[in-house]
Amino acid sequence: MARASIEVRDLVVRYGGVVAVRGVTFTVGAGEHLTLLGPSGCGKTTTLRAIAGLEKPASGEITIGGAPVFSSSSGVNVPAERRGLSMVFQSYAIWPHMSVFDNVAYGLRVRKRPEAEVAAKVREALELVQLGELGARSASKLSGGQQQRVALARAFVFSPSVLLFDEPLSNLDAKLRAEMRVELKELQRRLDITSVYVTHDLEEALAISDRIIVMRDGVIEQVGTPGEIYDRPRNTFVADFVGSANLIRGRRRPDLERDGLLVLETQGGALVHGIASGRATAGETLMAVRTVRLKLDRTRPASPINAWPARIRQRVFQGDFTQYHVEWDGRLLIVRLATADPLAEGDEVFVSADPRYCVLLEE
Amino acid sequence: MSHTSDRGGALGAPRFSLSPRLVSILVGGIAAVLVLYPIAYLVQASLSVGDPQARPPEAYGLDNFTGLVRYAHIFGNTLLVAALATVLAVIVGFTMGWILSRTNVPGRAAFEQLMALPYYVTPLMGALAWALIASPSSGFVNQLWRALGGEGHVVDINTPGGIAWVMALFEGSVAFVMIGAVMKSMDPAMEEASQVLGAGRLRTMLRITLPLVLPGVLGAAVFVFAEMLGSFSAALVLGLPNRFYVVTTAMYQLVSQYPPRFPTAAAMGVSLFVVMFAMVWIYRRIVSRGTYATITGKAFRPRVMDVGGLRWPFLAVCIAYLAVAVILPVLTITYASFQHLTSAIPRASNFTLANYKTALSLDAVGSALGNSLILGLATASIGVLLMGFLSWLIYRSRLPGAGVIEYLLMFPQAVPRLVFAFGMLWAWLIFPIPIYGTLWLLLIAYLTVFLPLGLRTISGVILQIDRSLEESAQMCGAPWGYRLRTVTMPLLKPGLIAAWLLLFIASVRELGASILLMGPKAKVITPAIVESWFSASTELTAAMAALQTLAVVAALVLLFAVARRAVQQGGE
Repeated sequence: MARASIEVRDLVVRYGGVVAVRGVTFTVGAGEHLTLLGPSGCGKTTTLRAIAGLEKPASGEITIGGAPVFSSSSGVNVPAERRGLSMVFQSYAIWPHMSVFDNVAYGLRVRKRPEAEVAAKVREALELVQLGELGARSASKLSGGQQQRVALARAFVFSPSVLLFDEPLSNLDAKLRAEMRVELKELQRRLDITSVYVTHDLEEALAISDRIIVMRDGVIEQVGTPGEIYDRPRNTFVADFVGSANLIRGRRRPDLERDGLLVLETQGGALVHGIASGRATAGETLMAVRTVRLKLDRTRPASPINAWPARIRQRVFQGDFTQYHVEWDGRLLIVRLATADPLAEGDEVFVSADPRYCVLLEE
Repeated sequence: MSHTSDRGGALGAPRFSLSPRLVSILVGGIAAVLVLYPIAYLVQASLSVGDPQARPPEAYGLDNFTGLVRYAHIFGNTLLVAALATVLAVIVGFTMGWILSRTNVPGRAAFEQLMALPYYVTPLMGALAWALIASPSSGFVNQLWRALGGEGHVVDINTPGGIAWVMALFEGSVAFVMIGAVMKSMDPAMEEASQVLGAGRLRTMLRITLPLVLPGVLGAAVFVFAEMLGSFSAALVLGLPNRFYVVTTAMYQLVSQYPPRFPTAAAMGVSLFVVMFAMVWIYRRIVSRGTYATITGKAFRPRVMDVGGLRWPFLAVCIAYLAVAVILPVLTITYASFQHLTSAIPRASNFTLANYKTALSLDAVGSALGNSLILGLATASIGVLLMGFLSWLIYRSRLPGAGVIEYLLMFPQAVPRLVFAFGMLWAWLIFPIPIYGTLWLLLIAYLTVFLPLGLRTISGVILQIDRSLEESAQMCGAPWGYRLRTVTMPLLKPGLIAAWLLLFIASVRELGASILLMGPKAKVITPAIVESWFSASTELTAAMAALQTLAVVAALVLLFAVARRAVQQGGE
């Protein structure tokens, strides 16, 4: 069976005196595509390398396909080469002294497969990453994108039970990265394999994951589907890291709350309706709303709630969208609109937000 | 779904395998013993204050060190020669480094390659050649001077300045490599920024370029100075006739006279060792602090300055250096080796092959040369394996204590080979297995003293190899032996070949350690050449030196011919 589940319990990894991962627990279902997302130094790569067996944790347990591969309590530590995983490295790690074919065939040859099977499987894998013609070429004569594909083929050709990705696209330029993101998603679907993916790039994480784990300083900040992570950040860190969000501070007004919506009164007296998303706070608190979830209209919207008069201070044209800095409630809100009809600086407008996208944060 | 056992079966990996950790500890331990054992005995000998011949020492004390006051002039000589030579070498290195990396002098690329040659001439060859050229009585220059009607001599190589001159010619190429690297690694944008902001060329040079390369130059100076303090052969060949001693030659004298004065020699060695160790430490601090700021790891094309008509004088400078450091010595030795009685003015009747006939018929030369070549082969082959593994251990294995092992193994760099050999002499004399006076002792000595050379060469390559190249092999399921064989070793191949060649050449021409450790029945060629210089004829010595060089070249050509096919097949 090619797909294996992964369980990580209370994982702690130390580098000398520094604790890189401080007690992380999560599971990856068989066939699931999980992404560890976070800024550099958050412990995501270390966690991945601990699963791979390239980093020895200080404590905790890691199980792959039900079998423990690391356990500090029972002293198990299966070496990386026996864990049956595979990994795509950030640097690609293509061996320059071998041909493309030999690079891809490596894992099969390690497993002493007959040469005929090796040839067939390597050809198939190279076809899959669209490098069918390049087998004989020396691996040192490849472009970055081609190296990336060879690294991919090499990683999945021997049917590992889990594929690990360590920021595989971060060395590509923006255009190629966007292309590879789509290809990678397609590949994941066709291989039907469990994968753990590490990245600091939000778009990448949103595009290819079933579930995302956001990490900071060696701990998990939030776990959820891409949609949940994007629209319902748990706290200011996630709201801030996962794309741009406006934070609105105010005091809870339980007296006005109904229909499952909660109400925040800002310092300037604006009433903002939003959702608690299962979080309970009282008194002074914070709400987040994504810059793309805000709307600007020249006329007052029909909705009686979450619509306020505002004035446009600054307009920044950014191609795919236009970013407006809007004076509202004695402060600036950032609004990103993809509409073609531009509003002018100084225009009096109405800013509005669907309460479903105004989310209460834990602080 | 017991997938781990599945995987083990699929791999067909052996159930038991030597743990890399165990092997690492073993090899690291052996290397540490190789280095520390002789040093411990050196220190012990230096503290022995009883009967100088007694083993183990009868009593311990510091008398040997306080007694060194009597030899103050020798320490003075050493400092004088080393300082002179360092200044000269750094001037050579800086000038050549600047010309070859920053100006559009013709033939830059070729000259850069040729700048390695002085290193291969060795101080011994240089000293022999320059003795022939400029010794006060029979030196060619002085012969010509007298032939032209002059009195006495115009140049005298048997002086501190002469010794420094020969050492600087040799060490100049080392300084060049170090300073040139700094100049090349400097981002030209830093100078361009200065010019864009309105500073002229001179101001940019003084305020930007110089401060940026200064740490590198300083580092090179300290490194060269440390090497000069411990250098031996030039001072031996050129200093001994006038009884001008530096620390290393004085030690050699103390050990080889009768009765030998081991404790005094050991105290000298320890003192030298301490000073050199401090120097190397200072060097490391300078290098790790200063120059790195200019080295960003980015590749840039160093900006080359158009120096216009000055190109030709600069070209002349380059040629002049190679002429005095390489061409002149090699020609002189070759010329002298074909002469009955060396004379500056060639006469047909004076040419002969007799020196070569004599040299080849001398059993001492034949067997010594054979021994040297065998030792070179063994040292290089064992050394590459040992040092390759040690480099991997230090820079890759993440074994706790790898840093300590690195420091230990670099120790021999701070110890002149002669001093190190003295420790070995003392240590292995009492070793239960009788290897003293055999080639085995020399093999151990070479492997030990060349540890830093081999490690530096190989680790330079190891550090360029991204760790993930090995890790990805691991993730493909390859056990460590398989990884080492299929990924690490092939990637290291250029470094390993380079290290092999360096070790081979260095071993065949080693003097400082060999001269003390060589037994009467197991001679090697370089000390034999020195012996011949002092006791037989100049011309015979020249023939022996030429033969040694020829043998090295022949051995290398042969090896390359054999290895080429394998290398080509292994390549692509």
